Amino acid sequence: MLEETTTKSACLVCEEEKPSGILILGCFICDDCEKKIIETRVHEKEYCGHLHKLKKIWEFVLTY
Amino acid sequence: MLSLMPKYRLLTRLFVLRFLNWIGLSAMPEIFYVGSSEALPPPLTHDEESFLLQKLREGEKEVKSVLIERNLRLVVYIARKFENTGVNIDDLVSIGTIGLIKAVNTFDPHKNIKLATYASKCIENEILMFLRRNNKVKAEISFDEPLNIDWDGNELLLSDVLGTENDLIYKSIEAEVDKRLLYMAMEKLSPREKKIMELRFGLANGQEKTQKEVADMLGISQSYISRLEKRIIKRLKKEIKKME
Repeated sequence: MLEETTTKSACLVCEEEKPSGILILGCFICDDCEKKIIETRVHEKEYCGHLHKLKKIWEFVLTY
Repeated sequence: MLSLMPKYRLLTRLFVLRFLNWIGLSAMPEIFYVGSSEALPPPLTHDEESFLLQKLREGEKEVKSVLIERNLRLVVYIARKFENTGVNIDDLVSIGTIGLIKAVNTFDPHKNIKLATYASKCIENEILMFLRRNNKVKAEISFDEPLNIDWDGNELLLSDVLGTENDLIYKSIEAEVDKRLLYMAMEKLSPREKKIMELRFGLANGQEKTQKEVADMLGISQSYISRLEKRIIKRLKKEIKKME
């Protein structure tokens, strides 16, 4: 899954292929989504969506 | 001065990021992170951080990735402090990551504090805000919500368990968030307005003063203090509402 996401440079959040953004532990977040993440407050409905998507960054890192 | 090896490593990392981006492989499957939080990248040294922040100021946006990755341990460390709130650690680290992304994007290097210090405040604030919101959503559940049924068929209602330790935890979180919001809002006040609030409500030393005492200290009339106080409180409410 990671392989598929990364080789196509698809954004972790919008799942679209974008030219630039940030890379966190191998997961790509495009500039537009990064901006949305920064601007979204906890009470906005998009927040939970971002939260859910960002969990993918950690699923390859944390073990319990 | 940044020693040659760490500088070389950072430049190599930047070069790799740019190269991958250029060939359309903007992320490589960095499998060496898999399986352990210990494998998270180490925190930046002071020199490394200064070097990267300088690069960011020069418009090299790629360094943001490094700044975020190298502060991820901080996210885990802070998230674990909130494990007793009933929120899953997966959620907590993701919320913390949002806080960290916000921190790297809003950090002002001229303020003379370390990014990690600023980021830890942002991460903690993000988690506290989430818990506050979560608490509000939870508060919408009816007091008569049945939680369980015992052997005799009696329902255990939410109202039966209110006032437990969890409740106390949330109360203290609420109070902490309110306090932080108030201090953030107070930053918007003029020095004199700030002084009046500190004196009237004992924000600096816990000792509240009467309007008359504050008026005497500042050499203005009590009625003027009263008017100012009303105006300041109205403004603080507005500022806090904007931040919520």
